[in-house]
Amino acid sequence: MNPFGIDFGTTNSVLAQWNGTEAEVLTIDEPPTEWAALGFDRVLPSVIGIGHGKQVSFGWAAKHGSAPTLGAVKRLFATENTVDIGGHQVSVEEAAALLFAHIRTASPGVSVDRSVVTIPANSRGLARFRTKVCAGLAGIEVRALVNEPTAAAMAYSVDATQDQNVLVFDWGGGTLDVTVLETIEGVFIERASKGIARSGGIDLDEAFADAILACLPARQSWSDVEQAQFRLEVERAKILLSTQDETNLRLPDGRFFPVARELFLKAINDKLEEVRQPIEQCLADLSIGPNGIDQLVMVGGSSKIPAVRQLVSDMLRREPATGCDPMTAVAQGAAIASAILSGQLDKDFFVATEHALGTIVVDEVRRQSFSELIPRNHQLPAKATDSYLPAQAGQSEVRVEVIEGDPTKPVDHEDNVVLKEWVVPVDPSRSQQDAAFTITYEYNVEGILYITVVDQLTGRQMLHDDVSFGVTKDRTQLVEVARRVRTTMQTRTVDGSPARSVTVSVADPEAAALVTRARTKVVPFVDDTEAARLESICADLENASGAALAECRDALDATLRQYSYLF
Amino acid sequence: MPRPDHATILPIYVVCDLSSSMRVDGRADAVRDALVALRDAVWVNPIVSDQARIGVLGFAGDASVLLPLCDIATVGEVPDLEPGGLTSYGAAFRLLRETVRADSTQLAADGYRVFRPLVFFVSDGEPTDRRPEWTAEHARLVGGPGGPEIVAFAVGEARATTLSAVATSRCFVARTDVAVRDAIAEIGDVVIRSVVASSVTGGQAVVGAAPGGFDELDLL
Repeated sequence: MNPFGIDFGTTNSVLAQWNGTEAEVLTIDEPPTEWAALGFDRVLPSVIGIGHGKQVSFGWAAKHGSAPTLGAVKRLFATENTVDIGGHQVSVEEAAALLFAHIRTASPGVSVDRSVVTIPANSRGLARFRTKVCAGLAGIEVRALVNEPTAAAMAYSVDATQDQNVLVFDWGGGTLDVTVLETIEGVFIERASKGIARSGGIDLDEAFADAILACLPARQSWSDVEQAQFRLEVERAKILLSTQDETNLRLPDGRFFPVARELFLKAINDKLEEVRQPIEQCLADLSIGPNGIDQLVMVGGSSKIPAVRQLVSDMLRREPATGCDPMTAVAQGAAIASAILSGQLDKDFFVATEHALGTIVVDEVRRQSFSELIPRNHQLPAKATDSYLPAQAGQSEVRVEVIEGDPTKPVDHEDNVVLKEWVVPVDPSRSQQDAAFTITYEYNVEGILYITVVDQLTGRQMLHDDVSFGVTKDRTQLVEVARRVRTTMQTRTVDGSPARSVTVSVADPEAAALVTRARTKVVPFVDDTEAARLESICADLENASGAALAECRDALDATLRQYSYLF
Repeated sequence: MPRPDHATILPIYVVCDLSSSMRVDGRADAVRDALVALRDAVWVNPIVSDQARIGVLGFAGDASVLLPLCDIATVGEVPDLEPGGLTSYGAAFRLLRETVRADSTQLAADGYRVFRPLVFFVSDGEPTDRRPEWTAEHARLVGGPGGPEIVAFAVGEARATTLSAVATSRCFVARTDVAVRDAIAEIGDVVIRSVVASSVTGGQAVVGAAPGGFDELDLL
């Protein structure tokens, strides 16, 4: 299977694969001819439509159809739980998973079962987890989450082994992100990052549309469909004006209205000026001038606007890197990362922690602080251990909280997220010193953090668990969402056991881990028939040897991959 | 083999689970012992050789014919059983369908009138292939002309609800207090009694009462 990379974008999504020699963008939608000619033949508008008959549509079919649609679902990741699409209440996870599911099989002859997926530079906590969970619900196992700026830099062949500063200017449909990456020993380290959360092609279109409407003679009110047609025409005119001085815009009544580049530039002038601020802020944060930047990478559809390229180039006194389409570069970079991680491409690149990881501790006056165990930008896999004492003598339990974020900021700062917490019993008769325990974090390349708490006095393991994606969600509900996504994709219409004891007797450590994972992470949350099937595979694996062991292990591994969103 | 024109024959198949879980507590050995007992029983009841042919299939992650349809009294050595692998009901039903079809065609070509085949299906575990996959194979097996009657036996971890979906005529479920090895021996006795009884009645399939330690499910 070729390594895949997915850019799950706010307005457009892109799928690329490493074909052995290059990162090739796959066709996942069929835009109208006039849009294909503008380079939109390799992107899927991140739009879902649900018709009155509950028929579901994606991409251009949804964008051009009359059914109510949902776009920019990624913007909802950090804040929303459900969305309304034409009167249908759909969870954000389900909506995003449907888009992932469509991407998974949208390219003829291709089924994406495993992929690197990109995430915005600043996304953390909930948004990161939701990305991985939603891909998993769609049947795509996330090989790694890679930051969009890192993927962009990789697409433009930035050599990570050569120490340099790379400024990635990513202005897509929904957000503007400016990131300065430093490359050290194969790791892209984010040194500074500033962005404007709601600034992108959507906002430029809106400003341009307002300017055009102000120039139009008096008109009758337009229907929703006509307004949608008008917005599309505005977007198309915006793109055409990147390469020509004037174009004719077709109005819903069939008349044409000439628009010039001057009108567009005037309409977006305020937005254009805004892009200076995050660039200046990044340079100021690093105390460097434009000369401190060794490479400039510009990606995202809005970065193709000549005035934008000119402004950024002038600010940094250098030309942007070339050789890649800014619209597809992030997905291509993700496919390259996927090829490296799967061993099909020999290049130095490592996945690193995006944020520091630690636990919350309290001092004598009950003040909380962030005790760092694994620092930010640490190569994965990573492992760290530290010793802790109960806050006071006589405690019968201690609260162990895994926190992700920035240790220099208060634990309740918005940059810090508590991922999971446990209450671990301790012996209240012991002195504070005798009740000491160690906490060990092990973070693997797939982004799963394992935590082990050990009693220092006796060596007894007090806790061993993992902080997995989606862990705070109701897993039974996730299984139900996965089923709904499968049904929707099959029918193209939306659809409005008790825990088992774990006994593992197999000697093969990999098989034992799989059996434990199946019984603790999946079996309790699936229906009886599926639970019995999984239990049967576990039983066969536990009693297998030789070739049968490999057969059973592979079968269980393949089955568990379908539930990767539960881990 | 010489045979009277228009003689009738009952093809009987024993389909046994040989997944890894059958390695536990000598379960596979119990199956082999039961097959040896069946051969010996047929040997002392020559009427069976006139009226029935017996074949044995095993299944794990894949299925195989352990003993092609034959007069089992003539089998010198019952093959050793090597359990190991998954529990693919789909593989079992697929091979059984192909085997039944080929055997029935051959028997008819040899001049026999062929009764509806009788299958004894034994499993100690739930299917490891997905339900839609194995039920589709099952439907192909029993749905077509000449599809067999299936008598299913659930032992060990196999669930009554699953085996009742496999059975078309009778379904027996071992009680949990009966050791699987003993339950398999009981199944062997029922198979022997059924084979002999069917032969005495001229080839009409007759299945006896529930084996000791088993409950019979009402398939209706």
